[in-house]
Amino acid sequence: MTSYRLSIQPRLRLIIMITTTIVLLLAGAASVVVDFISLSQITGRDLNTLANVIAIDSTAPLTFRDRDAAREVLTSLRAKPSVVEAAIFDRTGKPFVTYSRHGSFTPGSLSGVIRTSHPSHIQVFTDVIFDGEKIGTLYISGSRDMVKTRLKQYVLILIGILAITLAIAFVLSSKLLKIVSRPIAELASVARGVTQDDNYSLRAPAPGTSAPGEIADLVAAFNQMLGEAERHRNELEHQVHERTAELSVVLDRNQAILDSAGDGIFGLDLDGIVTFMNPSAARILGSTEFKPVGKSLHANIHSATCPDRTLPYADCRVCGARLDLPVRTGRGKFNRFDNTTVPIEYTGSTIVDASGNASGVVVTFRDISEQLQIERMKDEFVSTVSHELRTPLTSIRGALGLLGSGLLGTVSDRAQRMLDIAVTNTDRLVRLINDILDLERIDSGRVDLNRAIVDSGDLMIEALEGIQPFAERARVTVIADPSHAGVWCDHDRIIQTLTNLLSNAVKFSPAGTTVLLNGSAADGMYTFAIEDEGRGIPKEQLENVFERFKQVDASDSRQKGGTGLGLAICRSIVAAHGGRIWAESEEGKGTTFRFTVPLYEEETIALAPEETASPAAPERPVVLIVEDDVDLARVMGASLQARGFETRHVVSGRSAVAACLDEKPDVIILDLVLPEMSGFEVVHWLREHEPLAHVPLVVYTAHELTAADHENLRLGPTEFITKSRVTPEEFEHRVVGLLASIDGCQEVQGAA
Amino acid sequence: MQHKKILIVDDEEHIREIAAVSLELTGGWEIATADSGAEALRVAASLRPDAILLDVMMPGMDGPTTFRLLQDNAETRDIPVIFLTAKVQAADKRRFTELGVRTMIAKPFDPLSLGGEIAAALQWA
Repeated sequence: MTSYRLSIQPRLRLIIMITTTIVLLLAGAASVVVDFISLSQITGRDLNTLANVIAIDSTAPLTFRDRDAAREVLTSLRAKPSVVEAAIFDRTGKPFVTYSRHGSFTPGSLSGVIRTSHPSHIQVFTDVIFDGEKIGTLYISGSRDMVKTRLKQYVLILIGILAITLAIAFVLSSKLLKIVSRPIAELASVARGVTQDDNYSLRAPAPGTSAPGEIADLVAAFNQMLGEAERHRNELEHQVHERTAELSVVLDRNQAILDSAGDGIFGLDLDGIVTFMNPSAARILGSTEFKPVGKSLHANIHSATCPDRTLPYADCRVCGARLDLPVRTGRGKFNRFDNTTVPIEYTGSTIVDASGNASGVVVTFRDISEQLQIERMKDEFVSTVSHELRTPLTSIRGALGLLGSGLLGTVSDRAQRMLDIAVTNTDRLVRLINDILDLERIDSGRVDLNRAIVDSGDLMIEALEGIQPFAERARVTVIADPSHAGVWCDHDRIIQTLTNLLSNAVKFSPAGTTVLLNGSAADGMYTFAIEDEGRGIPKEQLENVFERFKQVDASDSRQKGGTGLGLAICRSIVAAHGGRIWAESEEGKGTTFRFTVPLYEEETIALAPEETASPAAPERPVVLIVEDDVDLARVMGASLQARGFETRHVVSGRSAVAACLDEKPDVIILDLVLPEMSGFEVVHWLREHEPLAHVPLVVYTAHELTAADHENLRLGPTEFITKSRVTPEEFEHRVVGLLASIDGCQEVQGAA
Repeated sequence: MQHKKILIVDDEEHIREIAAVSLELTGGWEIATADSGAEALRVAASLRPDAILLDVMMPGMDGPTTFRLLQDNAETRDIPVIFLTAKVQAADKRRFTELGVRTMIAKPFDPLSLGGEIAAALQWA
């Protein structure tokens, strides 16, 4: 686009030439006009002077009427080339003599001549006077040709001067302009070079010393700017290189970590689309040719515990990718691509972006088949050791017990004393073995807590009743001040903990003192407290007491018949519940042991609360799910709700019975292994309560059932489904089928 | 009170003997013993004891299997069975409960209270 424009040099030159031309023309024109005017005036004055002289000369010839003399006078005008014609008129205005330079001049009268004035001529009339009396008139006509000639000469000269001036101006301007325009043109070309070739190393050449100061400044400033720009650019490029290098190091490292990690790692976006997957993940899931990245995880890799692929993503247990929880860990099974399953342990972490929003999930998982096998082997070993130790101990304890009882004949007092010692210590050995095995199992996390909602007050009363005989023997008063709250715990294990702490308190309390059991709820936890009035524990040992075989006084355990593992077991049980245990003591005034257990919170196990809370259409059949595995119940509930069922969920046999009394369910799904009341007991109870004796029942158990079991468990129409033998779809299908068959039955009855 | 007949099943000879002695002495009951599950099935069918004290861990046919087979046989189905077990894990307890076993006595047992425990579990006056 710049090419359409004149560059600076021709443009400036043009301006100079035009200016020069205009100035010259104006000056020339002015001088011509002035000259023309003055020349005209001079010509007029000359003619007047001439006319006066001629008039005087012609006085005599006119007076005497001497035509020849008069003609002679006029003929003298020949010397004046500018005079074209002349005449002398007499008093009456008649021509006396005439003169003409070219050809003839024959005017009729003076007035005729006056009338016929010629534009290119100057006419002069002068009276001829003699003795004060006008005797005639002289007429002279001069030509203006001379003026014209002069004018022409002037114009010619002017053109000549103009031409020469322009030529000089051209040459001078060319030289002059170079000084100004060349640096600018060079500047422009450098600028073009920079922008077009992206070459910041170009510099405009310094202008000569003849160049104006501004131009030099401009070039210097331009070069400086260019230098600055180059420096910035280099710096920027350097930084970009550096960052790129750093980034690629990080990326390479991350890639190497991902590639070399033994754990499977993959990422999901919020829609459950796999964003990346490392080789280990692909290997564990058995994917060599199938590339899951960019595809939905939900549709391809599936947790074996998630029964239905139609579950909404947010409810799916796959990888624990629950977006409301920052980190979720657990164990489960993944379906491999070849439809086998692999046991895994996973951690799902929510990816939170800079603005604090969840943008996806990273799931780390590992194949725990081997670990499970080792655990199984360890379990087997523990079980075997337990059996192998107990078998001879049983014989020893039995034999000693029988001997010591005196039933087989009396022995001497000393022999009796020895037998009592043997019995006491055999009992201690048995307790020690039990405690060691128990502790080992809890600490290795292989004891599944059989959690349910349990009333804290009930726990306290039960523990109190259990300890009462022992306390009475020790003459220690145990008082419970139960407060009621629903705690989420394994009933038997918490009873074990309370009993242990209470028996400890009793053991270390002097006769006649009191042990107080109470508790309170705060911040989602329930705190149990066991206070005694014993001798207390020194401050520095308050932590130690929970260590294995650590008692305040090493002789204590033997004296008091403990194993030294009781508090360690308590700590392990409480820790497994996610609680805390500690001791507070003032030496000489007593000790308080406290431990916390989580309170049951609605959302812990509530089933899709929004849906169950809304008033349901009366036609929707109600399914009561009796299942202590909360996750399993949640999954079953969700899939049944999707089928149009209303679901209720309880975690224990006792609460199942209560729920049935509240509202008669249309179907009961019953697990057999339940806290408080087993499935067998629930069925037995239902049978005895007429309106509930014929409720359709689905027995959903992990164990094989015998024909007798079937008899004992039958309620109304009953289905027996073995856990893990049946696909989730089949399970659902059979529940729906069971209800459909009953509905049909009722209709037939209604018609009849 | 009529004399009760109790069948003790355990692969360990010493334990059978001690259990037999303690039950004879403390309960005054009539005792029969079997050293395996198979033997137990035979004795139970012919003797028709009032209760069976059944060891859980035995080589060959174990306690739960024996129990199931006893349940399958109409002649022995109604005989109450008490498990005698060295396994005290909650999971095992649950499994046995599911099988329909109501009473479990842990090994080692106290020979002096064994009879009382059995009588209490079976509600023998």
